[in-house]
Amino acid sequence: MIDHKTIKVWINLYLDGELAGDELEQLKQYIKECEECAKILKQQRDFVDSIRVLKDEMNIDFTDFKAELVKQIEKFKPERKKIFIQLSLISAVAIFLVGVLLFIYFYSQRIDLAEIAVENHIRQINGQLPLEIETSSEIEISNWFDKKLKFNFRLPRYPDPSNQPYRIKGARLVALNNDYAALVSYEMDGRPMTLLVAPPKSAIPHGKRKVNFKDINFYLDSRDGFNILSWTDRGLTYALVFDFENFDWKKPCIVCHSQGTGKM
Amino acid sequence: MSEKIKKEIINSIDSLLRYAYTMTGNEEDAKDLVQETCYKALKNMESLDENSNVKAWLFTIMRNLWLNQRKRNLISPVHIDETIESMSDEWNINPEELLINNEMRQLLMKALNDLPDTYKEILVLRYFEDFSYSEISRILNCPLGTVMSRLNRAREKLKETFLKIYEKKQL
Repeated sequence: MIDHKTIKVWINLYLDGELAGDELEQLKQYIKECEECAKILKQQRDFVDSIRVLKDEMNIDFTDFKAELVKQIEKFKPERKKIFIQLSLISAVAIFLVGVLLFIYFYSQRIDLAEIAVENHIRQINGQLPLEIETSSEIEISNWFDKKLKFNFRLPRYPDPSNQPYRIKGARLVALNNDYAALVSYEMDGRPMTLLVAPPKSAIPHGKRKVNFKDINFYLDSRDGFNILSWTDRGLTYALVFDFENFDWKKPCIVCHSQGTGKM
Repeated sequence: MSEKIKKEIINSIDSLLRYAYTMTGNEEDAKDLVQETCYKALKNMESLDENSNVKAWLFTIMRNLWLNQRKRNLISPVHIDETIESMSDEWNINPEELLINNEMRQLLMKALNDLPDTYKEILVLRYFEDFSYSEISRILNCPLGTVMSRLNRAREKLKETFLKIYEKKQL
């Protein structure tokens, strides 16, 4: 049995349209069965309706004020320009930040090509990295690399390769930064020499000494008893590893620039 | 979208004026409050979406403005008398009777105006503007349970105040 106090709470909720479900059904039943409840409902309904009647009692004349306010509201134009400028600034800052983050990400992914070149040179001379094509022909090597690399790489051709102090032994692909780099193996004065070529987005030249020659920065370094010459030119990064007894930095340049065609 | 909101603002002016007048008790203050509410709403209408309850939003703005105004004028918050004397269920006045009896209407109006602001505003929001409990809860920024209990106390207090004035008049 629900007491009259609860019924009164329910009546108020019912009159305010906030009673639903079982409680609503129970209330309807009580009202039917209990005279006292029906009386409270009537009195409360009369009271609430009396409050509602007062709504129209406020008969202050706001007509002029209202007409003027309506005019002002209709004339009002939202400050789109300001919003547009704010949005543009936010967009510009967002684009700049994304650009900076991409730049940082891109450069953090680049690796030191000189170090990779030395590693591959050592593995190559230890026989752990066999050549995939063995030939002394520049054109055969260039054709073999064609379509295997995501970048365009061709060895320079010279009229009489047999007259050069170096000899091409062959080439292969090596993994680099989820991609491939081109490895070309040479021999000069009986000593092995390795050229590693990669796109600049994957690798950077590196060395303790920097020499600028014909607007190209050459980096010179020595690691594990090997000399490394690295540089970036025409969209590609190169690293040349050698260990000549009579050390001369200019000597390895012959592989690309032929004997006597360029001076360093 | 902004034209639709403007239309809804215009349609709410009467309700806003009624609420403002009940709260301020002064014609000029009510006008200022409504003017300021509409200006603030127009400036911020871009923040609304299609399904927003514009009327409830306007009442929320108005109430916040009014509370800030009161703070500025250093008027201390009205103390709510939570005790209801002689809670009487008796209400033997028929609303039809009230409609034709001008004096009776004025007495009930006086009783409403004599209530503390907290009770007055909740009665206006519920019985003049027909806001649901959840809408009132958002406008007043209070829990649903508080809306229910406060509304209950406000009704009882109005009844009690009216009956006191009425009885005095009869003597």
